[in-house]
Amino acid sequence: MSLRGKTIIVTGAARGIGRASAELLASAGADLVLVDVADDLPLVPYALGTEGQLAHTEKLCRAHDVAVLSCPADVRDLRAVEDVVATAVQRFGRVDAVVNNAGIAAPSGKAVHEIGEDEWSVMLDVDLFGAWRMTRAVGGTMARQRSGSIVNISSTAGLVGYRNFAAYVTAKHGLIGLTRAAALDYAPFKVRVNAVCPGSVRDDPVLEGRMLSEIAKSLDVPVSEHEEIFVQAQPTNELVEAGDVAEAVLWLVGDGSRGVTGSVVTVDGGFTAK
Amino acid sequence: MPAVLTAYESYDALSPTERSKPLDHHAIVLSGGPRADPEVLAERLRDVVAGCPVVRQGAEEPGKVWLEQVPHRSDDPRAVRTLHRELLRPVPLYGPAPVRLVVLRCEDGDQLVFTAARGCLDRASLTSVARAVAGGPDSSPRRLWWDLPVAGPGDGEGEAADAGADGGGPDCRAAHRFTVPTTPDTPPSRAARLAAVAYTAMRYLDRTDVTVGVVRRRHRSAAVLGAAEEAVPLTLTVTGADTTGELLARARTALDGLARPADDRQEAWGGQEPGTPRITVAFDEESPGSGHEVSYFPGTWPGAPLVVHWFGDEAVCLFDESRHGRELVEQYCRHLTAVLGQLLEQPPATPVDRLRLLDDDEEAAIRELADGGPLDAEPRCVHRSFEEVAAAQPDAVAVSHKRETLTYRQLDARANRFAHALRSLGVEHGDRVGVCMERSTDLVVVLLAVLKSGAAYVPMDVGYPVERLAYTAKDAALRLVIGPEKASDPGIPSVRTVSVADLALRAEPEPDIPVIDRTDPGQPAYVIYTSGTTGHPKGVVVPHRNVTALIEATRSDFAFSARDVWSQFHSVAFDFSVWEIWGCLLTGGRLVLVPYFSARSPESFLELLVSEKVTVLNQTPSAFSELARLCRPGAAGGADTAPAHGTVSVRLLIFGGEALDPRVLRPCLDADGWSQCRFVNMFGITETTVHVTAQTVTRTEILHGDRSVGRPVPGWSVSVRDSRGRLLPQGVRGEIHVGGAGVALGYLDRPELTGERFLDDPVTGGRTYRSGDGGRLLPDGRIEHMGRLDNQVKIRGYRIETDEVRAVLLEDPALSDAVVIPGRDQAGGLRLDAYLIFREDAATAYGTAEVRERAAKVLPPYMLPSTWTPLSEMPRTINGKLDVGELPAPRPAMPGNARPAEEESATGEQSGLLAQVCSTWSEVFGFTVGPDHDFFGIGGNSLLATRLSAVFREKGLPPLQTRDLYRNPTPRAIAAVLER
Repeated sequence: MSLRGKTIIVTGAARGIGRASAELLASAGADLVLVDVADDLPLVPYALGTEGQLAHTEKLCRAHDVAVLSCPADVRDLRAVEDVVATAVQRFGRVDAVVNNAGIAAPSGKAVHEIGEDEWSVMLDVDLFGAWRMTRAVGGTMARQRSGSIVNISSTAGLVGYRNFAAYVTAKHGLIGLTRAAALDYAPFKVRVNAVCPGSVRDDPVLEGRMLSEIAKSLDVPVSEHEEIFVQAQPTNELVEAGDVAEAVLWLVGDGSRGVTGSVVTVDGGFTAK
Repeated sequence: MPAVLTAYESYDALSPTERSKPLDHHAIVLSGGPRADPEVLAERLRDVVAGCPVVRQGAEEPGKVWLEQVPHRSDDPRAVRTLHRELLRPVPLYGPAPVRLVVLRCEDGDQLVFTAARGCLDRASLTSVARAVAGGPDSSPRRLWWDLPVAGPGDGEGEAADAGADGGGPDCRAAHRFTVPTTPDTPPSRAARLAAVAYTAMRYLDRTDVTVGVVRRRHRSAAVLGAAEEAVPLTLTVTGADTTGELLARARTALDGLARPADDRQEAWGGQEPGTPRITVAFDEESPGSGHEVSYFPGTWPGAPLVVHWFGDEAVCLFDESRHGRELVEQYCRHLTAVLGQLLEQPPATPVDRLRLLDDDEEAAIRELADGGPLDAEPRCVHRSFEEVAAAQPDAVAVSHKRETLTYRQLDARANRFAHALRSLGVEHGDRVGVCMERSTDLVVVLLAVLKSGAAYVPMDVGYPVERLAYTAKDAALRLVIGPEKASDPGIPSVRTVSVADLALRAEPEPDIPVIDRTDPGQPAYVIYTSGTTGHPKGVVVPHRNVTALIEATRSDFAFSARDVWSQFHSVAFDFSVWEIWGCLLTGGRLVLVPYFSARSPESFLELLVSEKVTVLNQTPSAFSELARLCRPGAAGGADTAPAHGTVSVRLLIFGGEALDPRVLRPCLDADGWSQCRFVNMFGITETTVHVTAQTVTRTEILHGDRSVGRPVPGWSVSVRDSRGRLLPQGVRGEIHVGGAGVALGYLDRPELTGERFLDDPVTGGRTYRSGDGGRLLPDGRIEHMGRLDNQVKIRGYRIETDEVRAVLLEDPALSDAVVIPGRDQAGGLRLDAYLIFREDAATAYGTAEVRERAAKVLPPYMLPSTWTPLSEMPRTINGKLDVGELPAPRPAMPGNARPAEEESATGEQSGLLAQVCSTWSEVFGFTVGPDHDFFGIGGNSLLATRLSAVFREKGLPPLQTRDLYRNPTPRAIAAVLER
């Protein structure tokens, strides 16, 4: 039970990497605050996490005998994000870690000059500014506690570029910049900020994951064969599992990674090593 | 409800990192009442906290009530775990409301958990709030007043992280629960519980008084809300003559006094009186009525090193694990429980001395732990043992000195002839013969001869001053002294002296067969004089059987054999030589006497070790540190002085005579030759025949600076006792007593002193010797040696171990050695003087001031030496130990590069007033003070400041206010102020 007594906020917790991470953290004994928009966004062309999915994640976490609070909230709303943190502090007395996992993969699939202003904005607003808002909301609390760990879920798209994917790539690159800068801001207070860069993560039906097929669409990869095609680019000859990403998150939120801050942990089966 | 207290098990299961953020909150749990509607509770909570003066911000809801569904009965382990987790959850450091209410809805009812910060709401207040919110027949809606302001957001920033501000490390909280005996009808009284806590502490600390903080509340009315608890210090004094009844009465009186306000009350939690043990006691409050069952969870009370919180027949001890080891605390609780039981059972007229901390089983276990085990050795006489070895290997070389050698046969024969000669000189069985000779093979012959003649030898060092030799001769009533070679030496007045040359002449015609001798192994073999720190030297009388027992006890562990070559380095007057000589000769080895000058030059000594292929080397740590310097690459300095010898063959290096700080061995770890050597640290005393314990020192001990002296050798035993001779529990510091086969017969002609130091052990029937050394017993039976009891100094109430300060100084990479001794300043107060030896390769810019600066980062101010004097080498006595009398006058810390000339000019010509101020300061401090020396930098403190003012007055100087001194802390600055 290495996370016993810790309180962790996970955004985008309804499904996918968010659900996998939340459950793994719960199994390690952490109390959880699960955040998801639990609704659709008009500009996003696919269905986002639902209340039912969020409730299911909560149920999976509770099975590990930890306390869980579900807080539906849109990370584009600063006030809502601050309320989540305030609620967490009221209920649990502290916030030990935040996993900024909320992210959207579309609207994408267009070259730069074809992207509309609000398409560009919504991508950055969720994928980059959302993490900034949450960091802003917990930073003071963690600094006062003299302890804390913020984990930003970036992507291999934060390390290299992809065609027709500029907004996502920009946001994910920016997220790494935010990670490093915030790490320096908070280092004197023993609060750490790190990023995880997942590569091609398989959409696990149990986790109700969706991201990879949406990315396939944006990258013009036929969805029926997208897994096979992505695998060919993997030196390990297999896709990454969401659980693998969750393990990196587990390490970074805990005391075992005490000496690690401002760094990037890449979980991509060797994709960017080429 | 015991479930509340079992939460501590869950707390202890947290990692030390988590526990270093202690719980400064506590909680009240109400259960057994009717199921409550959370909305109603929330409204009541809002009402209660409405009057609380706290700054709110944002969307925080002051009266929020959290509801958790727990799908189990409340006694189900899963429900209990959930309750524990709630109890261990902190309240936010700042927050909208001072109380958090979580309703755990179990299958069989609600548990209402009210949590608050201890610094905001004390126990009584929290209970009042809980009652007011939970409702029920007893809670009238009375006004609740707030006493202390509650911290708002932004207050207390970082304070939780800085807990442990005493200068110790971070506070790491732990908890230990224990139960106490109860008489059938009533729980033990508060007085009894307080008395048990205090008395047990007194025994652990070996004191007759102890101050315990007892928690009480400033306000009587529970309607006043706030943090009004404080720990009032109560002092209990108990001497051996008192009875348990008197102890209880005093505890009762002290507790009664709690109700009255104290006039000069010391601070609650934070107050630190040096030397005062910080134990705090709290008693559970009664919480009658209200239709609910009320349980209290005290959290961990950070800031107080040890808290005993009583709950009826259960108690919880909350302590800082970084300060007090868990095993020790558990043991302490066990002992205080035993004491409490005895206080309750035994009649009031029972003398307090009859209270036992340790029961028979525990005592037996402790004794066994520190027992070296049985020694299967027949008592023998030293010379008989030698004769057997000689018979077995007559042609092996026994002893050599420069080019002279003697085989075993030759040594035996010559000693026999000398023994006859001694007899012819009138030496009789049971006499004492002084041996005061230069080092030579004949020295060993004479020692052996004296033993063979049935007498005991009294070794005297030729280097001693004549008065000392005369004193020894007289005190020991020597029949005669075998004196140095040269017949022209004046000899020792008032005793017959025969030069060894004369003795040899007399021996020539004598037969080389043994003298008829009826010496019993229990009779004296030698008398060695030791000086204590006070008084005249006294002779320790050691019988034959002790020496042979020591050899037998160590023979197999050290694998002594005829192939070994031993060095004989130490003065014959130092009992280490007994070990060198007889350890070698009774195991068939070859003894190499180290010539006088080789012993004084590390390079020549090293050459000797190599050329003679010495395998067993015995050294004092001071002496070895010289050799160790030669282990460093490049230390020989220059190609032409580089020793072209080979590597040492030493397989066994035994340290004795002084405490060893294993870090001096660091250079040897990988050095040629030494890396194959086994290092052994042996603690020993002359009065128990050279050695008591042995500890092999490996890389681990060297790297950690582990000063354990190990376990007793077979046949020897050790116990740690308090000043009254009572056995102390394991882990508790006391005086080391030694028993077993090595205990000497006593002090020659000093029956009183012998009676004081050599005690009869009622349990084993044997004798033990009080060593005057402090130490404690570790769980694995090893002894941790904690320095001479008189190396402990009390400076301004602080108890300081000079060895500890020395250890810190030794960590400075610029120093190769250091010593710390107590000194006195002119105000009559004690201070610490540090003497330092800088390494040759240390930067010249790094002076004593820099050493001081570095040490000041580690040592608390009261442990920082006041003076810092550099030396080129440590003055040593004949025995190789530090010669305190030869240390130069102490000096204040100076930065590097300050040449003596500069120092002089710094204190040279000055204006009249400045000169007077400097000289006054110099008088008070006891060393020359320059015009720019900083008062605190040279060891000034409030006592010296007062003294300084007084001396100023005496000399008719303008008056010196202490605050002026503190603001202008140099003589120059003071002079400037006074001139105005």
